[in-house]
Amino acid sequence: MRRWLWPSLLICLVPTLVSAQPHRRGDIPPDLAPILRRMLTSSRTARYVGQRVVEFKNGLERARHVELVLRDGPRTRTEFPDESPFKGQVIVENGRQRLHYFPDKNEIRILPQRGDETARRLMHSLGRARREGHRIVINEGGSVAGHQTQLAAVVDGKGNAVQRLWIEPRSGVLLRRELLDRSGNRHGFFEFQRISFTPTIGPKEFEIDRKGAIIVTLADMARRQAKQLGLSFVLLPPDSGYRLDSVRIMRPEEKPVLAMAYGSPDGRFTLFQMKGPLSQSKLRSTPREGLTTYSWTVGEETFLLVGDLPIAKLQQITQQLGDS
Amino acid sequence: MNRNHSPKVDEIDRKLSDPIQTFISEAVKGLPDEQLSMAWRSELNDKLRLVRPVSKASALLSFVWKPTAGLAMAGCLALAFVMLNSSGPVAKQGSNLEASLVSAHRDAMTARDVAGEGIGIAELRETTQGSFEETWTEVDLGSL
Repeated sequence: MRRWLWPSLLICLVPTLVSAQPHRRGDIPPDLAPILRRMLTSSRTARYVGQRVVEFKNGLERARHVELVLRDGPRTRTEFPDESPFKGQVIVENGRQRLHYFPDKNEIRILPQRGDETARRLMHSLGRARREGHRIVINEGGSVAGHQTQLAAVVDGKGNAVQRLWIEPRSGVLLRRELLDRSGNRHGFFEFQRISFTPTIGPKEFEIDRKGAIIVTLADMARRQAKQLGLSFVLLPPDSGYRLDSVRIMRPEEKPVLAMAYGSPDGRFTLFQMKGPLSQSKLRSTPREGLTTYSWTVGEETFLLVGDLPIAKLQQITQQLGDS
Repeated sequence: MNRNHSPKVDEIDRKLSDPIQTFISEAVKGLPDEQLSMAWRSELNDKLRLVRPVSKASALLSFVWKPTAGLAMAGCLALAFVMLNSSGPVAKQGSNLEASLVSAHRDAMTARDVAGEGIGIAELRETTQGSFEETWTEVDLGSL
């Protein structure tokens, strides 16, 4: 009898322990509307080929371009029309990494996957909306790319829409998405112009094999761009829990700044690095809209962290920064 | 012949001396002296102006030169105002690098959310032609 006691206890306890675990960020809330649940799972299961237009704000300008997208679950291939400024470039996500090919430079960049983050951020935005007391209103969405859709609008307590999602109900594929700023203007959107859910997928669609191509990583780009601006090279170590997503040189107010964007399951931040000081009073008076900032100087250089992480986390990050 | 004593003049004098004529004359003299109303006079002038033909010179003065003169005077006043308040070259409006950086982060995150696996803000400048990136050297790729 005794030899059955402990296994029996374990059998009884394990389900209790498991059910007591809080929902991880990656879990879909069980009470989410079915159409939204289908949308969130479609990023791992959907298959389609289509053409979409993407637009977002970049400072005072709006950047708009067209992409040709092939998807097979988590794997994607993105190309661009002949008239696009990105003609010839190929972006492939193969479930492990992102490869971006530049034909004019014969260069392949190895980057972190973005697809998983996109789905996670979408779920995070819906979860945050509900925590902030926003409502999700679902209605008929009309036709997008020739397919009838359901429209899920996330609205705040006053009825202002903050996000709209047009979902093809059978596949769960998001055919159109709008993100609105606090004044109700469209901050960014994409929309499929045509799509087919029965794509023909070749065996090597999600590979880039160019002999003689130069292989470049984000760390290489960060090092070179820091050198280009005469800045020290700083990078979070791979085991920091934060992943370097992109690096670019920008010139706000005509001042060269190195911008490195990091992501993690807990949130995202950008590390700005530049020569010369920043005004702390202006930084304090800048509207944050839910973002936190933390800045410090080292010699002639100033660093600024901007993100949706708590300030304590940003302060911890400064301790982890160092030369690679 | 003396004109003052002509038969015609005598006839007129006799008619003016008639009692009825004298009565009417006295009655008219006794009427109260009314002052003309300014409003009435103004109204009368307006009516006369309507029917009075306007010369081309007057029209030119009214519709062209008068407004032009008014605008010129206003312009001179404005110029004088600006010159008096100007203290040298106009200073460049204060920049706000800090706000630009916060805004840049927000734009980049929104772009990532909508672009997904596609082109984001970081790749926008890297068009197939005209990219600012230089050729990689062995020093740049020394970490590989």
